[in-house]
Order: sequence, then C-alpha cells, then structure tokens
Amino acid sequence: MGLDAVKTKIESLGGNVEVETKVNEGSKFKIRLPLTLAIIQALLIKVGEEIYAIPLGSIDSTINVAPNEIKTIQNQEVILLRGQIIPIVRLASVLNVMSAAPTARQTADSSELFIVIVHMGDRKAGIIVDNLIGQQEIVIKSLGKLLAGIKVIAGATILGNGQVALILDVGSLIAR
Amino acid sequence: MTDKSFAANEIQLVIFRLGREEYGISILQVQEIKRMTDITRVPHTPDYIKGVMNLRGSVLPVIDLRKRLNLPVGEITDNTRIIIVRIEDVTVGLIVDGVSEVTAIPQNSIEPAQTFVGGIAADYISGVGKLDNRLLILLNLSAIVGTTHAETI
Repeated sequence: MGLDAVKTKIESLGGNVEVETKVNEGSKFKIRLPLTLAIIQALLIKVGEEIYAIPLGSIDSTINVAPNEIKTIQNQEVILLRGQIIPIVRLASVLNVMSAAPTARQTADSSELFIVIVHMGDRKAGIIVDNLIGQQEIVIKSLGKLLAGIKVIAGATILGNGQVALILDVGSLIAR
Repeated sequence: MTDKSFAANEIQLVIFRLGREEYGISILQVQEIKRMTDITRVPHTPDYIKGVMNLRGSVLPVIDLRKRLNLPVGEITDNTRIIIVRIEDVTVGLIVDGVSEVTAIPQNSIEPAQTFVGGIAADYISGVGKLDNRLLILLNLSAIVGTTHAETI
C-alpha cells in the first residue's frame, strides 16, 4: 500500500519508479523525477476539436502509419514498430470525444494515421491522435479538488490564446 | 442598497434566472460574475460538469446549473453568465441564464424547503424567499457543488 502510494504520487508528478530485487541481497529503488515540476515541455495534439498536451518526457517518437498496418491480437490493436509489438490506444474513444465529422476524417485519413509512441518505465503504447500541433513549454495547473482523481488527465494548462488544454496522464493511458 | 444600511436580520442575495424561475445565493459566497467564455470539456466527469475555464490564469471547474438541477437544457445567450462562487475552499463557476440584481431580504421571509418540495432537488434547495410577489429559490451550494457528500465518478 505505502509503496503504491509513492508510485502513484511520483507518476502524477511525471516521474517513475523502477525496482530491482535480488533474492537474499535486497532491493534497489530508482526514482526518476522531472527537473522542474511547474513547467514542462509538451507536445500539443488534437483529438476532434479538442486540444490535449502530452509531456514530452514520456514521448518516444511520432509516426505515420497506414490504417492497414494496425493489427489485432485478441481484439487489442497493436502495431509492429522496429520489431517491437506496441499496443494502440485510440484517444478519441478513451476520452469520449465526439468527432465532429467522422466520415470526412476517415476518408482523409485512409492514407495515414498519426501515432504518438509513449513510454512509462518499460511499457510502451501508441496513441492515435487526429493531428499534431507542436511542441511547447507549458505550465502545469491543477484541476482543483473537485475534479481531482480523474483517470487519464494529469492536470491542465493555459494556452497562448487563453484556452484551457488538459494534460494527459501517460501512465494511466498505458495501464488501460 | 445604496443609501440605507441593511439590518442584521436581512441577508443579501445575488438573484439569477434559470428558465422562468428566480434563484438566489448569498452574496458572501459569490466572488465575481463573468460573461460566458470558452470552456474546455473534461472527460470522465459527471455530465453536469461543463468543463474547466481560465479565470485570470487559474483553472476552475464550471457547473452547468440547469443540468445539475435537472432542468431542460437551455441555450447560451448574451445574458448567460458564469457566477464564480467559493464554497469551503473550492472555487467553481456556475452557468446561469442571467443575473438580475443584488437584493436584501429579511430572514423571516424565508421558508424552509422541506415543507413543499420533495425529491432529489430538495437537497439542493435550502429555502424559498418571498420578496413582494416574487419567489426566490435559495440554493444549498455545498450540496450542488458536491463538497458535502464526496461524489465519485
């Protein structure tokens, strides 16, 4: 319980915990924390009409794939990237985004999909997004007490135009 | 309100509209009143949470009061306002159809809610104030915002 609380807290701050255990020798705990907590580099992405931020520290790469490169293993969508099998997360369905014009998007996208490859510890996932906006420094703001504890959302930030964008919690996206 | 000082047995209310009904909340709980702005939807929240807004650099949740009180969905007009309230240490915005005035009503013209309303909505109403011919529904904000019974999603 106590260790889980530490892990949850550290991941909510954008860090991670690694544990190595050797029998009869002991355990080594590695705790990684970001240098600054208030300002982070993030990639802004678009899902439907909504803008979300993904912390750059947990992004491996962004790739374009053709829809037919997405395979399924027991109904879990995956892609094969450089010999590694990576599970796919469709952000629009995780976030219940109403796609404004799904048919128009599908025809436009039948050529390529944007996938952001993220990692948390050893685990990786590919997040399907509608559009990439760009990299930006963002200030992390809390959503406040009332909205605390929402899965997949780590916080919020305010964009240059005053709009509020939500920061995705990569750890809980991967764990889904 | 301008020239007479208000008596100790009066309470000052901010009066706002939702549909055809008039509601009141204590002015002491109101921080400010804003025009409608951009609201960012937050996934996995109850449907009465409209989203979050930017209030001078801080992020505040916004509650759609019509949805919260099970009233029919209204349209956003030029009169739509967001009342920023502070309850216990939670600051939230409430979307209302329009804010009309600030007025003082005597404490003894307020009837407790239990005598005439039943159902779920009764929890959200602390009483009804009578002012001349008007009936002002007084809201129990801590129940509306959900600070009293922690609501889980």
